[in-house]
Amino acid sequence: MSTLLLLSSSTTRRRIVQSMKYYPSLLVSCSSVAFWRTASAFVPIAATSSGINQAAVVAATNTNTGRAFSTTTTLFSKMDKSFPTWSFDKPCQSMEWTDMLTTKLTVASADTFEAGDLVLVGVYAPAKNDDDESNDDDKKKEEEEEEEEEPVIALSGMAAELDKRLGGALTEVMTDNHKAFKHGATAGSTTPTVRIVVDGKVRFLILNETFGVLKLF
Amino acid sequence: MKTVLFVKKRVRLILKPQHRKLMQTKRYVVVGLGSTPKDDDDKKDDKENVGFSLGKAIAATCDAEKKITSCSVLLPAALEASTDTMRDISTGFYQNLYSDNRYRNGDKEKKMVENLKTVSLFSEAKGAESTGPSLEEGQKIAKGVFMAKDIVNAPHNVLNSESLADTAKRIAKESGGRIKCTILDKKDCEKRGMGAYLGVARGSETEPQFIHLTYTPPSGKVNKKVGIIGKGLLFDTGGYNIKTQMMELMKFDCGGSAAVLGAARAVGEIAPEGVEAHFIVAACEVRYAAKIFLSGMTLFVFYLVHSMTQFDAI
Repeated sequence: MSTLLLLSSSTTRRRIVQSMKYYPSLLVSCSSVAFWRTASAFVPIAATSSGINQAAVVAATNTNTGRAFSTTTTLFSKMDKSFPTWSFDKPCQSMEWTDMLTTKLTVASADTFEAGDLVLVGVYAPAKNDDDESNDDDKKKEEEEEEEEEPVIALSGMAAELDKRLGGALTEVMTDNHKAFKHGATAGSTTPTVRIVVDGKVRFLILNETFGVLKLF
Repeated sequence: MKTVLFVKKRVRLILKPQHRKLMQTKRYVVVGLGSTPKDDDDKKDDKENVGFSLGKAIAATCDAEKKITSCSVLLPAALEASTDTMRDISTGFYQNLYSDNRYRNGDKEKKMVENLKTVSLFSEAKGAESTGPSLEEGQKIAKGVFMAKDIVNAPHNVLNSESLADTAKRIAKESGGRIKCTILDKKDCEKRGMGAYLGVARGSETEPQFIHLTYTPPSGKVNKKVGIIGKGLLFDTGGYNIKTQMMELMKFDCGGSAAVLGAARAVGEIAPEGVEAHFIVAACEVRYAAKIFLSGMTLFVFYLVHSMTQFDAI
């Protein structure tokens, strides 16, 4: 387009510009750098020579080519930013550090217990029997038998009180997951999350991610 | 009457607004603490393992449960509320919430426990209230862990001998005068006859930086002196004895220096009494360079001559 404008006579140029007055969006929508430079150069001519509402053209030009300008400006401003870590000649002088978390950890007596959004209840599994004489095979059999048996869960202390207050939700989730959770025999093992709905008919809800089972009690 | 409904598929609950409000209620998770300790020996072993495991479990659960702002942890009386246990819980919690977002942007950034403000431990054991300072100590240790992870994770175009020396200076500055930082440059090392170190550093883009951090206790009384030395080879290609495999992992060669500077940061924060600690890192890298050390060359180490055939073994 720019070549055409440069080579053409002034009359031809006016004809081209006049033909474009019906397509102002065509004039301004192209975001190519070469085109909008050319377009912005001849827009005032188009406005004066063809009688197009100059304000409208300027507005259209500002709106659309303005977008092109802003994009390009952002691009160049990004490019102008010096690379923060190293340059071609100079190695990096400083390493960024990861900030420490702002979460506060506190400790208090269980007497002052208040339930937060999430409550974790720590439980110990029953003590292991020390039968050194028994063989590995016997131990395996015992473990298998234990797994097959119906688990009896007896919570104590504040955990028992809390379980009672929640209508047995903790016992229920431990019973359901006794094979994986093993009554908490592995330190740091957890059960699926139990969500307690206070009002309404639903008392508690267990969403078991492992087995994809949703239970409503 | 109890109603049980089983849905044998993973489900997405579509709820009415009034029911959705009801669903935003408390969440409960049971955490295992291991088998009940029988005797004192068991309790000792238990203390060492349970704290970190519990801290890790708290961190993982809090991160998994989105949009929670507070978390309460109920601990049974059987778990002794000692300073060691509380410190381990705190360290385990904070160090497992490390996420290195320094070289990530946009969706790749992984923010841990964004909304979580407080985690409250409620212990049934006696004297739990007095263990508050040990939680802070655990957080300070975790700061050191963060430092070590930052150093190991940093790519080599960011972490060279100069930026590692800068890190050491910042650790000293952060300690509020408890740690003094001394950096020996190339000339200082030459004066001291540190030939082995300089021989390796000839293959380095940046000049060698011998880092020495000295911690002195606030009271000034020293009963014991401790020295901690870590390997500060920030990238090891092996020189002409080039590594034939796992070259991309060679930035991890500075793991020793990461542990040392991490420990320095933690010690500077905790400020223990009666101990003077020295943290030493000889920082450089081994690339290919015109000046690089070749097989058969001799090294002058403290005015003794050594002939080296295997460069990578230095």
